[in-house]
Amino acid sequence: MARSGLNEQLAKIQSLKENFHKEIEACTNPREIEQVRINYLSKKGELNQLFSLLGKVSAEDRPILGKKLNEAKNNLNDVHKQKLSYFAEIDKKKERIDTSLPGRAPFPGSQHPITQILDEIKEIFSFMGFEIAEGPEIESDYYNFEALNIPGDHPAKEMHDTFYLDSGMLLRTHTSPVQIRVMESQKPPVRMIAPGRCYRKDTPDASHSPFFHQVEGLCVDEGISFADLKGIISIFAKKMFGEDVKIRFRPSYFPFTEPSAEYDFTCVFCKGKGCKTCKGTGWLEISGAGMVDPEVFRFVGYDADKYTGYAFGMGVERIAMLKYGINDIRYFYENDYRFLTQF
Amino acid sequence: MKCTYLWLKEFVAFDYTPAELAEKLTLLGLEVDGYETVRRNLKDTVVGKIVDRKNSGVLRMDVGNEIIDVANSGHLPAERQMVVVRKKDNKGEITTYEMLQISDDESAIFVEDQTESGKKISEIIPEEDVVYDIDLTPNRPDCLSILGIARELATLTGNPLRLPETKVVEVDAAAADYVGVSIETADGCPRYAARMIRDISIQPSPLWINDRLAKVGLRAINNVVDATNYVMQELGHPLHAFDYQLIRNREIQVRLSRHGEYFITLDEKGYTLDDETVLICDGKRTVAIGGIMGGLNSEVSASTKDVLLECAYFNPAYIRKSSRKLNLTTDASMRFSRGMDPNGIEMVINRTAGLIGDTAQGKILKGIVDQYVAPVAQKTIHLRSERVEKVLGVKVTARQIRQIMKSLGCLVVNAGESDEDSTITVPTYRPDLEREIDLIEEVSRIIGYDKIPEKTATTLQLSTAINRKERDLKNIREFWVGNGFNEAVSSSMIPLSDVSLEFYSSETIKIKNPLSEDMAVLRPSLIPSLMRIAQYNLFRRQQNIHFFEIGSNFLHHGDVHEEQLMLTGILSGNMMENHWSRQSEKVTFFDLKGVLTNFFKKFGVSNYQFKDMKTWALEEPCVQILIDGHTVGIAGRVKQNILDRYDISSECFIFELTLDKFLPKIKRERLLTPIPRFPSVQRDLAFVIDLEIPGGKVLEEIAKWGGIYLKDLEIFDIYTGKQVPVGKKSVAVSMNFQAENKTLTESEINEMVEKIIINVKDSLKAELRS
Repeated sequence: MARSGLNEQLAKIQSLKENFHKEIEACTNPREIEQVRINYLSKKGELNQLFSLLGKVSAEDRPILGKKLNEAKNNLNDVHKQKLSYFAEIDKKKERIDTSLPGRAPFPGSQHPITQILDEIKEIFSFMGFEIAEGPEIESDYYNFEALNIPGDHPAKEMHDTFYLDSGMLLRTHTSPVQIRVMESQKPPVRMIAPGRCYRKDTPDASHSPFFHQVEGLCVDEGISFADLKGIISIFAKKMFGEDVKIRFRPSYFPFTEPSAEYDFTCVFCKGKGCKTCKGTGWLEISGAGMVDPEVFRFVGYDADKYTGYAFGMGVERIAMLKYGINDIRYFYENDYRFLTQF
Repeated sequence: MKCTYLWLKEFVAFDYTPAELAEKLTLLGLEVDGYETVRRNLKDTVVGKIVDRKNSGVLRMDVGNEIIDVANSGHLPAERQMVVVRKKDNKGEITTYEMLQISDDESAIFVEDQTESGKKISEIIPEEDVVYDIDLTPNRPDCLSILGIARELATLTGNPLRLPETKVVEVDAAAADYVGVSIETADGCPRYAARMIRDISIQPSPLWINDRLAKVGLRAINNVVDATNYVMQELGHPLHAFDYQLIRNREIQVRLSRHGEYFITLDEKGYTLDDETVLICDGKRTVAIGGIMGGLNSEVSASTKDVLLECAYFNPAYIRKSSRKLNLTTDASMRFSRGMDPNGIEMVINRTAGLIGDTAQGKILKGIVDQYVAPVAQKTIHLRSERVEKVLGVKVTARQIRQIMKSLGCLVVNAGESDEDSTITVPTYRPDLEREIDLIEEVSRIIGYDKIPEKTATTLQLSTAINRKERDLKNIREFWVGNGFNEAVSSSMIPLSDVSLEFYSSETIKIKNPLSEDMAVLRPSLIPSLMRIAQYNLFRRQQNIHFFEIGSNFLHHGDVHEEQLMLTGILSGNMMENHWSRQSEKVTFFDLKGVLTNFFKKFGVSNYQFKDMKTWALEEPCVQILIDGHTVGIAGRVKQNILDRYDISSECFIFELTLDKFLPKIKRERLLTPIPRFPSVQRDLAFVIDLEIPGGKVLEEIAKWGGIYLKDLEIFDIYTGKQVPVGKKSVAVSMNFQAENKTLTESEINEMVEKIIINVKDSLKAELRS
């Protein structure tokens, strides 16, 4: 083979380098890069072919050419590596979790606000040693009225618009009948609450519903006084609505308690300053309470001289409405997904 | 009960602002529902005297310091001279009740002839007063009057009560010569008093009476009827005025009705009576239903000249019963049924007679014809100071107690200064005070409930039982919420059309007096409630329905009512929320069955079964759920005709469990099964069986023959298609074998698998798929 001139060889190296650069630059994926590597850098690749010509140059040119070839080899290897790592980098980015995208999950469930408030009430009174009692929603006149000292045509019956059934039974108008059932079945001391559904023949509007939930409370023992009643209601008010809530009792009338009271909490919206919700009074009417009437003790066979007791009621919807800022009682029973999922 | 600020002030002095008065009354137990200021525009409104009425269009009127022209807007009776006018630019306008917003009556207002012309109307009626609406409790009939409310304020302030003038100027003729009263029913009517007023002139009432009646919501009629209404408002006790000329035989008899008697009341309605209604009769016929309403045959009219005025006391129990039976409630019946004061009658009848005498220029005959056949005595009650403290939890001294009793109008008898106990005589206007406890309530009311401390410590029995049912229900609720269900609370009263009649026809409980057709029956099942909820939300574009409800259903078997606690759930739409990373899947039967299975596992119930059945609400195939062999519920897809009834177009899956049956099955005790230390081996098998054989059978059979080392078993594929013969399906099962005390050998496992294969092939006519 004819000896080639050094310059000619150097030019070949230069052109190989340029071609390699051009080709590797054009690669769009690691597979193409591999092809370029095989073409240039493998055993039978173009660079090795140039190395094989090394023996054919003069001894004085050989070190110069050798050096240039090695430089070219390093350069090609570097560029190849760089290009590979560029794609590796992109792959890494692609694999990276985009944490900004929304998560996926089953549907979230929700507990109804009425049962949530009921749970809260039960919890508060359970901590204070009250047991939870229950009774039927279909009641007799005896338990719903008579044993609660509301006989036959007592004017107090007008306060209860009652639903009757053909059998002469009725839908309980309050959970107070559970008082009687509990006292009939056990001797004092009694400390119980009776949560449950009640019915009154009220045309539905923003503040009335023909059915609603009530919690009745009863405590009978020796030495129980009106002061104990005020204490328990005060603690309840604070646990339910916050430590700064105050209570107010005012005289009222229920045939099964005496003295009877209505109790109010300081308005939870204006903190007692007076606002639209509390009609400027600073007080919110909550419910009724009182000392168990001796006549009721007579019905259940308790010694009215030995024992005294208090009873109270509370409307669950009323408390939920105040607590959650709900202004229409009908929301509770529509069961609108957009309402329920807010609780 | 309505009253006004100024009217109360006539009866007792106080210096509360209108707002303070509202609060004071409320804290006394007379709850003020609301109060509003009523203003009458009386500017330039004066008494005018007609001096010239020759010109029919214009009247000349003396308004005190000048004579002005007043447009004659209508017919003015010639005998009335004094008219209320409003001055405007040297002219005047006849003022009507409507212009003063007293009523919608557009006639002129006349005043007494002796009134001086030019007198300001604001000197006759107030320009401004505050009207209170008091929500009275039924135990306080005494407060159905200005007097009663004022009495409460007198007690509170310590100021004396000012009673109205009740002295009567009588003429010589004696009332007893004109009417005799006899009472047959002393029980129904213990007292009947009457007065005679003759030669009256029926006219509109004076302006001040009109003004006050309007403020308390009563319609003015004429001077006689208005006087009875005014006094009823003022003193509480109802009265009735008869036209004396229409009373036959100069006599009044009070008796009980006879069965089937018919009577027409003054509102022209007829009533058939029972034999327990108190009637007021004259010598020949019935003239009033005692204490409820007068008769059409004897009412006061424009031509009435002589009035027989009745003021009686009726037994509350009789009035309550009659009022309820006749379904007739009047202002009078409401008062008598709560209890009026039998001993306040002289004051009431004299006050009324005096007013009629004044306003109708009548002559009041001498004496009250008064039959008090069953005198009602004051009650005497023993009151122990120690008991007051025991009930109230606050010490009130015997002296304080006696002071309070006196301020309420009670008499304290036989109690020395140092006595702890007192004997109290209670006035008859307080029928609610009968027992010691009633007086204790009065003590607490007057000292103020705010004076009773809030006691927040107590001794407790520590034996309070843990309420397992409550805890279970809470856990159940949390389970369903945790599984993506929204808890619902819905009406127990549903329309009859929501009930499947063929299924529940005889068991559904109807409400006798329903509010509406939409709430006519008690739900026999919670399924209709859930369908309503699905409908409500689907109609509002919420397509994914996951709801549950815990509540009672109601059934009756003959006369026995049954209430059961139910748990019901509904699924429709997608099972999971939409997400870009996957396809949304529609709910299937298996989603429902899967949650139910987890539910049973969670509560330790293992012996459950899903068994094919038929039921009213669910499309076949659907299942009944059994625990320990007893049915506790159903599950499946809702029938098309039910979906159609609610206009629902998407598939709905429903379950209903009787919680009363499920709760006792909950297993609370758990015993640990040791975690195995030796490796488990998995083997898969696929059996080809007839399409009709339930896939679950394969599991059952394998479990039966698998032996004690078969720990886990699940279906991982069901296949029908080219790879298996027509009419067949392949059920692929994966099995896990494990021993607690050794590593199972290959041959042991092969032996077990072989046994399974042989037996399944045999019992299900299965082929092994290779």
